[in-house]
Amino acid sequence: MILTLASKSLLNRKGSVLLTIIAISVSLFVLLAVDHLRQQTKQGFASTISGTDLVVGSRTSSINLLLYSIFHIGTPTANLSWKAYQNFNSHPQIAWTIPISLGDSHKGYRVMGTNDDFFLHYNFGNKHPLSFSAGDKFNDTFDVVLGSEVAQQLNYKINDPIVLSHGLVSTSFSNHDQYPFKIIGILNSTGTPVDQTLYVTLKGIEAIHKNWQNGKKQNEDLTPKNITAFMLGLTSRMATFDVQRDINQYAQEPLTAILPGVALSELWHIMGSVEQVLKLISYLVILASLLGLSAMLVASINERRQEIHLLRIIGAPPSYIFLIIELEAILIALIGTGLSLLALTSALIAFQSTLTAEFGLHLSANLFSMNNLLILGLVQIAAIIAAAIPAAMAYRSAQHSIKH
Amino acid sequence: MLNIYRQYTMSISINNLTFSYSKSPDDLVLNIQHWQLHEQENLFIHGPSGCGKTTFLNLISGLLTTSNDSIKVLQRSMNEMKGSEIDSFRAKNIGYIFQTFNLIPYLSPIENIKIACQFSKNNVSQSSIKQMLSDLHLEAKTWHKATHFLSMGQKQRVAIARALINQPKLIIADEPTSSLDEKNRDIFMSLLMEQTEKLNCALLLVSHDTSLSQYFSRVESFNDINTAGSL
Repeated sequence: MILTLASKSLLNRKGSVLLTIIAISVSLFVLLAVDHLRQQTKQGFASTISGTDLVVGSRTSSINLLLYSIFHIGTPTANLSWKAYQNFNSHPQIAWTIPISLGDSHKGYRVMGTNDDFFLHYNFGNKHPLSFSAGDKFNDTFDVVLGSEVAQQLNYKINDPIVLSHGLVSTSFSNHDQYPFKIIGILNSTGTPVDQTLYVTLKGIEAIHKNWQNGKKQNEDLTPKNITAFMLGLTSRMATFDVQRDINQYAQEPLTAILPGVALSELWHIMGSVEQVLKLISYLVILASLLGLSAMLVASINERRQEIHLLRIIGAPPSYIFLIIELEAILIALIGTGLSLLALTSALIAFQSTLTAEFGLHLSANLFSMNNLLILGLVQIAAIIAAAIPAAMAYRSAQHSIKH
Repeated sequence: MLNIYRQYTMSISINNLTFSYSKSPDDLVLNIQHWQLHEQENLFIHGPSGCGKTTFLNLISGLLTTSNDSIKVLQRSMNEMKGSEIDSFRAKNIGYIFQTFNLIPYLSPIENIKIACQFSKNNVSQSSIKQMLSDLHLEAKTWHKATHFLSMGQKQRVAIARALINQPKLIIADEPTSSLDEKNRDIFMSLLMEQTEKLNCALLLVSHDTSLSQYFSRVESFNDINTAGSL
């Protein structure tokens, strides 16, 4: 009966109640979205690279090197020479290397020049190797392998011809039109930037650039002079720091070797304060909406003095009046929570493909983590506390419920 | 024998009651030497507004309390009971009817009556609620409508049902007809008298409208009862 009373009373004040519910759901939406984004990004970054012991590029900061070589965020500062790459490729403690050559694009997607070792040695997630959903590895200079996202979004099939652009604009004027590439393979989805990348041979990259600058030339040596960076795996993990020192102290040119895990945690460390600020802001937004709830209930009590008096006359103890107000607050908080979960889930589902295409973020639409349940539980408790003020006012009003 | 016993049983008895909202003894709102209402008695008290009638009724219903033992309702001294005891005592034993706002406006007549039963912890069946509503000439189509859609006359009749559903021993009505037109007032009064008689409960009706005297065996002026202010 008290539930009927509380819910019908809320329905009777649809306008203000609805606005309060919206305020609470919007603030919870912000809190959950920020937190979800944070967790998912971390998870996404962490699962992008696995099994690679060192990433090597020209001298730069470790975070910058990690971001441009692995996540294709930002631009490389300088290249490293093919000679240096060859030098370390034959290093006795290095088991394998994957060369990375960046700078071209196709319809807004990054193109990475590499070799077959990429498909062999690159691991993501929990040491998952790459696999092909169609076709196979490179066979010829002008072969291209697509990440799953690229193939899906641009609707490409095996053997389709495509043209690369210089730079990273989808409407670039400088298309390498003379050299169409042929799609030879399509990778399975990985949930990492690999999905949004096209892979070509180093020779293919070299060919289109040479001829771009010098006009058509045939039968030329297509060994690249530079590459952007390379990843490497060691014969033994124990050698990590030795090899890192060898690379960092390479006399011929300034190089940087980084441990991807270490660079990532440096990144999180920098992001940490931003995260904290975002978290603080979203908690303050929640606080504001709960104060709004409290204010709405306080205003309602002034309108409901007669109702409270009537309930007292028919025998309701003041505690019952207290309980009604609390129950109303809980109902509002619960509905607001439900709405925010619904809105965020549908937003995640609706914008999943956009987020993946634009930012390479793979967000799960599943919000039911232990952490979120804890947050939502705390919000309900906070709503109960916020409603204590109006409920106490109603209690007092009930105690001194006298009409003159 | 039983009748003789009843003759001496009081619904309300008041001895040396003084009451004031402020601390100063000069601002006495009520000063009642000796006054009582017998069991099953119907009493009409008339008096102008602002003479302390509502304060008087609030003291009887326990919404206001005094520091001494001056008020006994159904043989229970009101200041002996704790707050929660008074609340459940009121729910069980006193039916109250006001001039307006007798019902929660967004609940239906049936829900309003059920709330009253909840506080008295009375298990009243839906069918007896419906029976009562039809006894009070309320059509079935009004039973599940929010009461703010009902006419004033209908609302006051639902108020009778709400006040009587727990079969209280005392009905207090505070200007119950003052919002009604003449026709509805007559319907309301005859239904109220009929129902209280059926239940054998005492009725204490307070109003400024002296024309209601015709329904009552005992009629008093509030100024005769309360000597506060009459210097």
